[in-house]
Amino acid sequence: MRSAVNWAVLGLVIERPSYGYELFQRLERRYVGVLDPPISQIYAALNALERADLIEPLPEDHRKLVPDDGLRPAAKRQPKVHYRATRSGACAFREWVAEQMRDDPRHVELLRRIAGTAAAGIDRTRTMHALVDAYERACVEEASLLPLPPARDAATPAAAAGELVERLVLAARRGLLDAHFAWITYARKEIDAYERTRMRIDEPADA
Amino acid sequence: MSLLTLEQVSKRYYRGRREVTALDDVSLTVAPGELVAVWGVPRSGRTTLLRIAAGLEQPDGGDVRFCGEALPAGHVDGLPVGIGYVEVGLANVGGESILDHVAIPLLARGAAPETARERAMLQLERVGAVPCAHLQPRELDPTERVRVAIAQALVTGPRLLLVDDPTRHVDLLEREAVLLLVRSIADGDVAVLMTTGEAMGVSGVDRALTISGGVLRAEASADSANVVALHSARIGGAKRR
Repeated sequence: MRSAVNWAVLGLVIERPSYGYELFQRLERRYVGVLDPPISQIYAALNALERADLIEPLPEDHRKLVPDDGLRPAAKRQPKVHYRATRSGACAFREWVAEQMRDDPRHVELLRRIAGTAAAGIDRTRTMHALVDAYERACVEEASLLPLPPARDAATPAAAAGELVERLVLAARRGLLDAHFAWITYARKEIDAYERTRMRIDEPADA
Repeated sequence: MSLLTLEQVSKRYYRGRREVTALDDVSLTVAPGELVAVWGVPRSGRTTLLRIAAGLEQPDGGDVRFCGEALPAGHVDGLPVGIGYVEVGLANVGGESILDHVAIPLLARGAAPETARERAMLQLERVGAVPCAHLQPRELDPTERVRVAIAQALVTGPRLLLVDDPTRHVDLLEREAVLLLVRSIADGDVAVLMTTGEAMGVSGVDRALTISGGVLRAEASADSANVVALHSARIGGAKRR
């Protein structure tokens, strides 16, 4: 499942069983400026999650336990389907969170390109520096777009758990960016050292 | 018009007979009310950049202009009128209360003691450090030191605040509060040029740059529409406020 909206909806359902419109409102509040899907996409996400057996409709007698939202008089409402997460949904969400914290594949790609540049062509160190410069731009852009962590002002234990997960994911991503930034400084020095070594030794490719 | 302009600024130091480049052909502008962060490791030239912007050091080459004019000569505290400089690490001097400490720049400019203390208290309120007013510098924790240092820099009513790595010694869980304070100062129409050594320091800024080897390298701004597109599908990657 690739849709960020689907994962966000699953996370919100795990926090507490809910239905389409209420999820739409919570998602708007939680992911302001990050995700902005129309309500139809929330219903599509619920359908997809149910088909994948990650959520299931809450049995009728359990719904009384879910707080009323007070939006409209009960008599005028359409029946609302409340969803809860299945065990596999909770497992899948935990794995997805872990996935978000893994290293950046762009870094691997950059190393591959530097290795390729070192093996062929002229003007190699200049190209390597250009690759590192581009990677640094991507890092600073990503860092500047990450929000500060959410305030610790959750009203319920489940919401507090949601905030905790967000804070930990953000901290992991920032930690990676800090590591990559330190690596960029190191890489520049190594590339310069490589250039000095290359000039000192007689390479057939430069002859 | 830019509030602060650095054009092709360079600065070299000598360590014995060896020349060390601190800044190399650095050009930078800061607009009124803008929050600009410069991300760099220690010894990257980031502090030298701030000190030259504050007029505390002279560049070897290039121009520094504030409000369109050559940087004016420093006042009694070494800073030109209109610029505040936050260097975290308030001296561990005894004797004076924090309130008196924050009032020093005004007293140095000839303000009456009572007026200076009133204005100092207003700035302590602004930065959320009123409980520190009657403490001594040695009694402050690292976060309070930053807040008090910012209050002291704001007390003369600057249009530009230069802040050197405000979260460097601050506890991990307190850092966002310090950064939110810096953001609130920029939102209050005081431009801020800040250095940082970590990714969190560039969160939510109007413009972020990187510095290494005395050279400004990458830049990201609020108009990085391509980046927004890149990250909009990823939870946790926020569009700028």
